[in-house]
Amino acid sequence: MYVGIIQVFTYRLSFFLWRVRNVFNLIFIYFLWTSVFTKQVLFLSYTQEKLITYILVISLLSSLILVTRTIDVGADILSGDIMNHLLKPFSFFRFIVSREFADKFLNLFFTVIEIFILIVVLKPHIFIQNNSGAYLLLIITMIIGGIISFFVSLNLSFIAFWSNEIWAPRWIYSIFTWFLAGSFFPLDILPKSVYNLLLLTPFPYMIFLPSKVFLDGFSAALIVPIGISILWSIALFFLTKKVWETGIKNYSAYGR
Amino acid sequence: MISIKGLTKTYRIPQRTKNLFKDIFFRTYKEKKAIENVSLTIDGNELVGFIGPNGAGKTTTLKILSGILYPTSGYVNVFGFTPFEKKREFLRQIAFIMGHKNQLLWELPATDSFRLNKEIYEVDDKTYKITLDELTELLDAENLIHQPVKTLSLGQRMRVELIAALLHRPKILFLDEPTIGLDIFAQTTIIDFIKEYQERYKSTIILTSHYMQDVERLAKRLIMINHGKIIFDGLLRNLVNTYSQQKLINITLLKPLSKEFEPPEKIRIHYQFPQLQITTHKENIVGVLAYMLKKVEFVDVTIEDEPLEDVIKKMFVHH
Amino acid sequence: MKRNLKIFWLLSTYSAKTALQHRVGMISFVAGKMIRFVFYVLFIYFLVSKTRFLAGYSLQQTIIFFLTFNFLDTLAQLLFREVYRFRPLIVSGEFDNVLVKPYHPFIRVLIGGVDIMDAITIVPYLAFLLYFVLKIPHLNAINAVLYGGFLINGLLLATAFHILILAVGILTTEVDNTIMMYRDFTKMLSLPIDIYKEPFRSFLMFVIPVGIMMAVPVKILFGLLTPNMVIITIMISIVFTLISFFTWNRALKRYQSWGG
Repeated sequence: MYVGIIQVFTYRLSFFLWRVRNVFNLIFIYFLWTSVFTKQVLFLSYTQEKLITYILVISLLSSLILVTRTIDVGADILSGDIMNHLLKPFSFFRFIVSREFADKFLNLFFTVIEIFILIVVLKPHIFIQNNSGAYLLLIITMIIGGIISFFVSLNLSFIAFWSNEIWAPRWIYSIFTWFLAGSFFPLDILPKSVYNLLLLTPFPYMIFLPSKVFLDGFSAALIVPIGISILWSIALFFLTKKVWETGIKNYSAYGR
Repeated sequence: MISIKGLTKTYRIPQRTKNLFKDIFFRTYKEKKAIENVSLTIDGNELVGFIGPNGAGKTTTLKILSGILYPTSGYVNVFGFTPFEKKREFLRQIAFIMGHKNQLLWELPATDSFRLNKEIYEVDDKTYKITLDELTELLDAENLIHQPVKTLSLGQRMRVELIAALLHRPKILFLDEPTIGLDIFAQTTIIDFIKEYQERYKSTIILTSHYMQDVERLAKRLIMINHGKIIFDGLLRNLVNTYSQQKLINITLLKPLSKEFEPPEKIRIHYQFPQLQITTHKENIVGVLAYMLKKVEFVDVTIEDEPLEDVIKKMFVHH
Repeated sequence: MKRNLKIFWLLSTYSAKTALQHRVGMISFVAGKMIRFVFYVLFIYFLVSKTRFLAGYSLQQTIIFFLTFNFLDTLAQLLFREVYRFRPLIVSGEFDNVLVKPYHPFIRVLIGGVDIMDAITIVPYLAFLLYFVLKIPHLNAINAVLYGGFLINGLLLATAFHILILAVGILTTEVDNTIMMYRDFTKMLSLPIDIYKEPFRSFLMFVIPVGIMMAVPVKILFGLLTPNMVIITIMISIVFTLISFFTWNRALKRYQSWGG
């Protein structure tokens, strides 16, 4: 994990600029929603307070859950570097998971600072959850969301076992995530039919569901989504395992 | 043609301290003089070898002469132009070829790059055809120029790069390590080509290389540079005559040396039957030779100059 | 001039030829852009239909802000795609080869890699834009002409931005992050600039003049700018362009040619 942090600091300027970009991204969304509320008190079911809080929370969760180092796995497969890890498959998994944690921890650290600065500068009204039960559920949904995001991203990297074009699917995935995971707007403002359709995909469970839990605490309406999220994480686990095993067989057969 | 007086180039190198904060916001720089107070003149139709260890300043000099780098101080004049101004008339008459570096369009056949260079250098159709045919023939590249550059081997790529760089018949060629990374056959091809090219087109060629064979084969004039300063500028053969005090005597023995054999004084000996190599000072040759011829039975004797490489190495150590 | 156009034409055709060798990538790229466009438009429709106004602008007007941004953004990527490939050129030392040729390096590193895929997507984008602009009730002909003029000004500013990015690339070898930062800034103008409160709004107008690029043409179209503002806008554009050229020349002098 230490190595992971050092690696990141080696690319100081890059890293710094990336953080700056994150801040500006947040500013964009913040101002978008603030201006919506200048003329009205409620946007569908959200007050300004709730929505702004939603944005900050989603930003935090984004850096914790959506940002991932699994992208490197794709590059490793294409370059052949992954062979070094293949001798010990179990520790490869351990390696990428711990690298993941290092990365997430680092990002979280900086995102908290950035959000703190923004709160101090912009002074928005934010909502803090009181219910301790909600926090417990928050942690559970975050873990599930993290698992889902991790496996989906990993599978995207595994495409490298069969094709050189790993950039395109990942890019399209990021477009989908940007809109459908709720980074831009809370998903339940969408029309009911669209929202229900979306609940069948893994997207809402990565960062949207935990945010909802933070904002509203536990409610009966969340039972089904939580259930689906658990199903997705199990399904993705097995899918990832299968893809990995097939991919490795295919890969080694080419004798790189 | 090329005139440099008092040329200096200083680089600013950022210093890495352990302090991360300082590194981002308060960077300190160290100054490194890549070349210092260099002066030289090169006329037309010359083939100059420019040698020095890594970081000696040869590439920097070449890049200043071709206008890529901006001199810190000093006077540079090529064909009456100031290179850094990169005037079109100036750039049309030079070519800069770096070994291992690619100027050709990677995914397309070399002919596309040639076409592009034709437009860039404003070569008319007739001259273009003649030059292209000549160069392709000289480099034996007829079947290489129609396939994507990325499919060529390093040696093949170098040949095609040379064609692209010479289509406009530049008056000056700057060659920076043109044979680096090539196998011995490819190296020979390139070096032979350069020699042939210079004789045919009478251009001025300035060549840097690590490989002594390249320099020995091509250059009559040698410029040695170390730590940014010129330590020798003259004819190759003068280098050995002036600076080398050693001669080598190679004796091919008929019979192995007996155990009682006593070598003469003040020599270095390298013995692996049947070859006996004696290195000795020029003045001692007659004495040593006379001594040896009396003591051993031999099949062949040759006397050689100290290898150029050794002379050069010694000079670099000295300066 | 004719020669430069010829060289530009050759470079562009070669760029297209190279791109066509990667069909799958091409199709995904175009598909991705289309998907994103559709998502965005749907979102705007949905959002403004629930709020009726965004920062004082109607749905139609908001759409035009977005479509203008989209058009200029795509046009800039179409022309300046080669800037995205600048870093490998610098780091490998092959930029030297560009400097040594008797043509302005911009022909190669700025516009030498015209993106054929953006050329495909820009056609429907322009069509959409024109459709919505022509639908404006009581469209003032003068405003429309000024709109076109300031779109061109926006393109010139985009050029200045990319030159600045190249200069920073020469000085620091950092290209990818600066270019993405530029893209982030322009993205902030995908919606009307009025959503931003001060001092951010001024920042986006006067410090990093993306506001002048994207928002000013639209505001002029709607007749919302005073002549004073127009003059200030032009002056800032000129100053910014001068800064970018100055920085580029400075960068060349400082160039150390590390690569290799």
